[in-house]
Amino acid sequence: MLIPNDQLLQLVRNELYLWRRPLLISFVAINLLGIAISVVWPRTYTSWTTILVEEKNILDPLMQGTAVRSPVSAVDRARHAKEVLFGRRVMQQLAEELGLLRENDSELEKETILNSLKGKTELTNLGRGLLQISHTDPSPERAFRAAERLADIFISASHEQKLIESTNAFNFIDKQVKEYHDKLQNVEQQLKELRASNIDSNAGAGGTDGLARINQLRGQLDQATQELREAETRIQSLTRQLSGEAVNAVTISRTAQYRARLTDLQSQLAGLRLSFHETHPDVVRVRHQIEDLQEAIRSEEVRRQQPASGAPSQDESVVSSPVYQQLRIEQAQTQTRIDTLSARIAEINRQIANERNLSKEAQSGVTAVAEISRDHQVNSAIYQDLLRRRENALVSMNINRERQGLGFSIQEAAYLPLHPSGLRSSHIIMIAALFSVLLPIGFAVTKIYVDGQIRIMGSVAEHLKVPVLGVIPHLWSPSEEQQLKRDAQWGMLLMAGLFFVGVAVMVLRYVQVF
Amino acid sequence: MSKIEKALRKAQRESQSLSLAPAQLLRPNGAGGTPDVPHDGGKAISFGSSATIPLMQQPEVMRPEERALSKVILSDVDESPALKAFRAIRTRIVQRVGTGGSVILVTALQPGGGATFTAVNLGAAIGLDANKTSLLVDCNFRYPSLQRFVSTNSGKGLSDYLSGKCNDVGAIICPTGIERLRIVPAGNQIDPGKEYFTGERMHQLIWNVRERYPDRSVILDCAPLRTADTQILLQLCDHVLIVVPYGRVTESQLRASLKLVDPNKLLGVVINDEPHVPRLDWRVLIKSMISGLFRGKR
Repeated sequence: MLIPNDQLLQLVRNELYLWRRPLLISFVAINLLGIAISVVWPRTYTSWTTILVEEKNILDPLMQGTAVRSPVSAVDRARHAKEVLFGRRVMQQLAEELGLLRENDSELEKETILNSLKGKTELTNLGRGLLQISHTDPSPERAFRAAERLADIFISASHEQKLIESTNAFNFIDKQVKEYHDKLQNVEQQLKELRASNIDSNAGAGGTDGLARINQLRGQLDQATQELREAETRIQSLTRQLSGEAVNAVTISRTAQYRARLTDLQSQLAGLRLSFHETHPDVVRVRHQIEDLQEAIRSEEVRRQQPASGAPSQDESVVSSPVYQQLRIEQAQTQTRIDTLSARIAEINRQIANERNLSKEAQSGVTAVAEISRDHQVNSAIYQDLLRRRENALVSMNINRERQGLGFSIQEAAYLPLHPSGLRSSHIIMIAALFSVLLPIGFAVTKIYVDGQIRIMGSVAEHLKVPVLGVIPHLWSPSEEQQLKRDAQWGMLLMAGLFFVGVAVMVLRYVQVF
Repeated sequence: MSKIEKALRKAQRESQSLSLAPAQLLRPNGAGGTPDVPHDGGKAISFGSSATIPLMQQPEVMRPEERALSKVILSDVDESPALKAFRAIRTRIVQRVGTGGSVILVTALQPGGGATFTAVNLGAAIGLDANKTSLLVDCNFRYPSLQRFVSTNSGKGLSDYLSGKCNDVGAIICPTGIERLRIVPAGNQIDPGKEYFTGERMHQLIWNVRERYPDRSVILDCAPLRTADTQILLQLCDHVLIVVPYGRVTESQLRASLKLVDPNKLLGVVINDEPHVPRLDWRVLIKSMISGLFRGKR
C-alpha cells in the first residue's frame, strides 16, 4: 500500500492522537529511564598512547640479502599488534602491575578480570606505522597507568615475539640443514656402492660398445650361416655325385669290357663255325659264353638305366673307383666344415645372448647411477641454499636479540585524562529524548502500514469498488474537548518537567556534582 | 445559518406563538397532532407535500449546548468539519435516491461503529433543508439509543407497534429537538427472544410510512450488519448505507460484509469517526494551566 506523503502525515497525526495516552506514558517512561540511567552511568576516562613502528631502519640496507625482518605491512602490523596486545601474557602482566589480580583469585575470576581488561583496551591502526593503544577505565589514574604500561609491555612483548620468531626460524632451518646433510651423505654412499657393484657395466658403460660388439657378432653369425649353407649345398651335391655318376662310370667301363670280350668270342665263334658243326661242344661253349656276355651287358645297361638311389654304392668296383674316392674325400671334408660352422654359429649366438645380458645389466646400472646422481645434485643444491639461509637466519636472530629487528618508539606518551570519554550522561538523555519522540512516530507508521485497517477513503473506493460517500470526522462533545485540553495540559506539563529535569541532570553531571 | 433555516425557525416561532396548529391536529400531550402525525390511526391525508413541512409542529429546538452534548451537528456560521461531511453525504444520497420516500438502512460493521450517530446526523442534515424531513426508526432493539432525542414521548415505540400493542403508526412517531426530524423509538415491548421484523407488521409499517410521506426520507437505524435483525431488514429497505469505523475494520472484513448486501441497494459506505484534533490555543492552555496551578495553591 503506497500512501502519499501528505496523507501519511495526516494518518500519523491521527494515530498519535488516538494513542496519545499510551504514547505519552511511553514518552515519559523512556525519558525518565534515560535520566535515571544517566544519573547512575559511570564516567569513563580514556588515556592513549601512540607508538611509531618504523618502516625501515639503518640495518635494512646494511643487512640486505643477509637478514630478513618480519613483514610489516599495515594490515599485518595491526593484526600482529592485536595478537600481541590482547594475548594473555600481556594482559596478565598489565593486570598484575595494576594490582587487579589477587593471589587467591580462581582461574575463572582471573579470566573475567583479563576479559574485562581486554574490553577496556583498544588498538587502532592510524596508518603510516602509527598504532594507538587506548585504555578506558572509571579511574583516570588507572587509565593513564594502563595505557603507559601497555605501550611498554607491548613493545617488549613484540621484541620478544620477534626474537622467538627468528629463533624458531633459525632452529627450523638448522634442522633442515642437518636433515639434508644426512640425506646427502646417504646418497653419496649409495652412489659409491652402486658404482662399485657395476664396474663391469661401467667398463662398457654407455651401451655403445656392447651394441657394436653385438653387431660384430651378428656379422660373424651371418657369414658363418652363409658358409654353412654353402657347405650344406656342397655336401648335398657330393652325395648326389657319389650315388649316381661313379656308378655310371664303372658300369660303362664294364660294359665296354664285356663288349670287347663279346667281340673276341664272336670272332672265336665265327672261327669255330668254320671248323665245326654247330653242335660241336666248343661252338656250343663259345655260344654260351657269348650269351652270358650279352646277358651281362644287358644287366649292366639295366643297372645304368636305374635311377640313383643316393646311397653310396656298395659295389666294390665303384668304391674302388678313383672318382668315387675323390668324391668321398671331398664329402668328408665338407661334412667336417659343416660341423665346424655349426659349432661356430652356436658359439656366436651364445656370445650375442651373453652380450645382450651384459648390455641390459649395464644399462640398469647406468640408470640407477644417473638417478642417484641427480638426487645428489638436487640435495646438494638445497643443502648449499639452506646453509646460506641458516646464516641469514642466524644474523636475523642476532638482530632481534639486539632489539634491532623492528623499530618501536613511543610517538605520543600516555597522559592523565581530565575529561570523561565515551557515552556520557548528556548523550544518554538526548538519545532517550530522541528515541521517545521517534518511537511513537515509528509505532504510528508501522501500525498504518501493517494492520491493514481502513483509514483512507480512496483505498476503499479503489480496492473494493464501492462508492465512499464521505469521511465523517470526529464530532467533539464539550466534555471530550475539555478532556482533550486536560490531556494537552498534562502533556505539556510532563514534557516541560522532563526537559527541566533532563537539563538539570546534564548540568549537574557535567560539573560533577554527582 | 442559512436563510432557509432562519425562515424555518421563524415559522416555528410563529406557529407556536399564534397557536396556528388546529386543535384537532394537536395531540393531547402536545407531542403529537402534527400534520404528519394524525390521530386517526393513519388515514391517508396528503401531509407529505413540501408545502406542509413548514407547518410541522416543532417542539422546542435543542439548544446548541444540548446538540453538542448529544453529538448532533449544528448549522452555524463556523461550519464544523462534521457538518460539512454530513451535508456532503446528504447531497450524494439525494443525488442517488431522489428527494424522499425511500427507506435507507444505516448499519455499521461493528458494535459501536457509529450507525446511530450517522443516522441521527444524516436525518439532521436532511432536515437542514426546510423542504425536507426525515423519519428515523430505531431498529436496534438490543441497544436502543434514540430515546434520548425524543422531546415528547407517548411511551410507545416500534416494538409496541410490531407486537400489536399499538396499532396507530402516528402514535409511535415522536418529534425531536432537531428540526424536521421525527423519530420512532424502539419502544417498551422489547423481548430479546422475539423476532419482530419477520412479521407482516414491519412490512405494513414500512409501506405505511412510505405511502403516507412520499417526501420524507425514512432512515432505519440498525444493529451491526451481521446481526439477524439487520439481515431481515436488508430485505425491506430500499437502500443501504454502511458505516465503517475509522481504523477498526480491515478491507477484507469490509469485503466480506459487502457480500451480504444487495449491490443494487448499496448506497455506499461512510468512514466514521476520523480523528480530527480541534485547533488548540496553546497560550490559552498554558495560561489556564498556570492559573489552575495557582488556584490549587490557594
